[in-house]
Amino acid sequence: MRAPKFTVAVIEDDEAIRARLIADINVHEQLTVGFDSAFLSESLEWFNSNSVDVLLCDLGLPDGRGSELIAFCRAQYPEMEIMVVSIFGDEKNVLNAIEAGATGYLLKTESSDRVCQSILDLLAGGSPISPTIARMIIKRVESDPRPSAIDQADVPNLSKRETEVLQGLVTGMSYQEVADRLSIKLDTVRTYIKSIYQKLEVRSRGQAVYQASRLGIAGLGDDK
Amino acid sequence: MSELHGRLIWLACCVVVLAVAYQIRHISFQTPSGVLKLSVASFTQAGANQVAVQKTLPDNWQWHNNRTSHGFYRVQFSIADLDNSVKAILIPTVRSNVSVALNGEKVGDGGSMQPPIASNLRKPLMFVVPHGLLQTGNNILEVELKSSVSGKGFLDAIFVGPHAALNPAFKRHNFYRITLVESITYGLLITTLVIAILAGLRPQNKEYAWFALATFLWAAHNATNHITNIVVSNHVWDWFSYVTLGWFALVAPVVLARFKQQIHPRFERFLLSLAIVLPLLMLVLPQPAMHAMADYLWYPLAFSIGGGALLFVAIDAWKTNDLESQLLTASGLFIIPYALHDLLIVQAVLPWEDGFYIQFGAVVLLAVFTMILLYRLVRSTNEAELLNLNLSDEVSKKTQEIQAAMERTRLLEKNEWLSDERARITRDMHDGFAGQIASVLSTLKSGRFEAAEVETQLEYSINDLRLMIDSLDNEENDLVTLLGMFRYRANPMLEQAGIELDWVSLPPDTRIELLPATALHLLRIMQEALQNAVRHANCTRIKISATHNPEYPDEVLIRVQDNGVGIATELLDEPSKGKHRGLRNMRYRAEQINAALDICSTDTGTSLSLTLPAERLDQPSS
Repeated sequence: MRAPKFTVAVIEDDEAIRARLIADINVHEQLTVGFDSAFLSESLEWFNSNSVDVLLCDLGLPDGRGSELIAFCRAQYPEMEIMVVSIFGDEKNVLNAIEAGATGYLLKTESSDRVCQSILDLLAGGSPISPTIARMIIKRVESDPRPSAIDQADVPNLSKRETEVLQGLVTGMSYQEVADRLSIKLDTVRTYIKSIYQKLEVRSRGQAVYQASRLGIAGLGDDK
Repeated sequence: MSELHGRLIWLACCVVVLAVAYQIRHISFQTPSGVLKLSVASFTQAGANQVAVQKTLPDNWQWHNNRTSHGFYRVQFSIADLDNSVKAILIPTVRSNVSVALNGEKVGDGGSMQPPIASNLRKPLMFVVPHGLLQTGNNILEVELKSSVSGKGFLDAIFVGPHAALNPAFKRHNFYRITLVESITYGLLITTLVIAILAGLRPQNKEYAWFALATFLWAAHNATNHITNIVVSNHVWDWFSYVTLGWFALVAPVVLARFKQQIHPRFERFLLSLAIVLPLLMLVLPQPAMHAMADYLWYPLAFSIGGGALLFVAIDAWKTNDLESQLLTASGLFIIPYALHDLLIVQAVLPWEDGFYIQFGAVVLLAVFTMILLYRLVRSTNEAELLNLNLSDEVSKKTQEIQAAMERTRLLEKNEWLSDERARITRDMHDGFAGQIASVLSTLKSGRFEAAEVETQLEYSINDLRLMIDSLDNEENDLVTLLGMFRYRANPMLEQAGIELDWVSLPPDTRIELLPATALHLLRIMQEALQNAVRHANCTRIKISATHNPEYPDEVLIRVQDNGVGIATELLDEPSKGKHRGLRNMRYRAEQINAALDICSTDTGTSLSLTLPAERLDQPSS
């Protein structure tokens, strides 16, 4: 019996890259492209009533920001894996996408077999974090302490272990090396990274609510 | 034209002042009507065997060179029809004191007849005659006169008549001579107090203190004009009267000069020595000599100096057309005629019964002075307030200007840095990436190529481009992250080649920051070393380590070791000769970032060591 296929949506405005990604994905026996588009509006409309297992989303779309689609899908479909399609050296935007709800990212220049491998890794629960992103996360959490006005559970800080995992990743260690260093299992490292992703997203949402309530936008900050 | 106007107005003011000053004559004694004026008396000097002589009242002993200080006047007068009204005897002016007896009965005196003799310098004396003492027909009035200064006694004409007729004249005279002067004294004392407080509050403005001294001296001198019952000896009292007025005249120039913001230390010292020496001399001299000295040396000298100062201010007022100077000279003008008048009285040129005017003279001057000082104070307070307001405005304006200037400087620096960086990146792109792509293009154009070779070349170019981006975009160019990214990027290549990587990096909390240019040189050296190992060394293991140099903690030691076949010795020795531009480039780059590069190769492997100064990696020598 064949393994069930995972459906993938490709949202990318560069025709050549989209075509290559679709081709790479369709070739893989476990993956199939369920939807592709170059436009934000079109995608939002489609995702209103449809879903996929994995969303590949470019950040710069002709009619809007990809992070809007990411946030929408994260809210609609909490189980969906969302990957930012990024060029290298664009870590700031990747971090913003993670805060919008992305759980992984993919470089546009990645070779065909690594595209599928990254998607499958993500589905298996392994979100990637580059050293630069790891360092940016540490800095962001450090420099941006939890706003006191928000309920503690809403804006979680990183645990000591999670920070240690990130510090290992900053130095270029692989997940396995991090696990060895901290004397924990590889899967535990993956779990930590997943939870870091989630916390970033929750934090940024909490921050947004906090900012909104600070700006006096009615209703948003209230519990009523 | 307007300046001339100002001067003319000032001169006119001076004339008006003199005209007003002349009106002082109206305060002289006005003979009441319906009373008897007694002006013929027989005078007997005190002492044994003295002969009575006929005198006309007013009688000034100075006029007939009488050296005595004690004498008796006897006046005979007759009254035809005596009514029942209360009668009185009025003597407008005496010097220094009298005791009056009518028909052998004493009717009164002007104070103590024994030393210290009461000083009735200004005081009119009126005695109510007890009922029944005055008789129809002949009456005899006996007046005993005592002068505190021998030879300087004075007795005015004597008025006898109904109290109701004499009283208005007495009151009027008493008002001008005593009450008014007393009021002036109190006013001056209050002024002194106010100015002294100001002087204490503003010790840097010495003119306040000097002015307070001047007003006090004037008040003190005035007091000698209306205080009758003295407690010190006549000698000291007279001395005090002379000295206070003289001192005022000596202090006035200092006040005026300092008021005009001028300080003449030598002149002030001269005045001080005058003010000390002459009064001391007067104090030790016997009484007649003291009076002579006061009348003929002390007063003339002091008033010449004071008047001279006023003249200086007048000249200044004329020259500069300065309103303050003009006001001061105009008001000071009062003093001149009064001082001259009084000086002439003292020297018996003018009749003694005129009385002194000097006590009124300085009042206007001092009032004007006070007003100017207060006005100055108010003005400077206002100016300070305005200045404060302007200052805070100024400060905020300047702050903004400085901020703007700093912003401009920062922008300029940033622009300069940006254009430097832009030039460097452009050069890098042109020399590196563009050259590599061009080379691939020409290979493709030639038609003779192997796909694998082209792929390798393009991969190399992309990797180089990644290094460039990492060197630029890395957060703060943190060395640890930079090395981490290098390993992260190198992973796929190593996996593909089936090479095991042993990775040892610096501790995560190591803080070493590099400039983008330095970072790129470092990354390219490491990339070159790694690619050499992957492509040419035929190795199975690579170890990359970054550690602090144990001997020099300020250095970072980066090693790339493989277990491959090693590099040919001739290539290492003379890298420029071979096709291996890579080695030569590495050395060049190491030089650029002040790092020591050491390559050691044997047939069991190659080891590349790069020693970076870790404190200051940011300024590669150009």
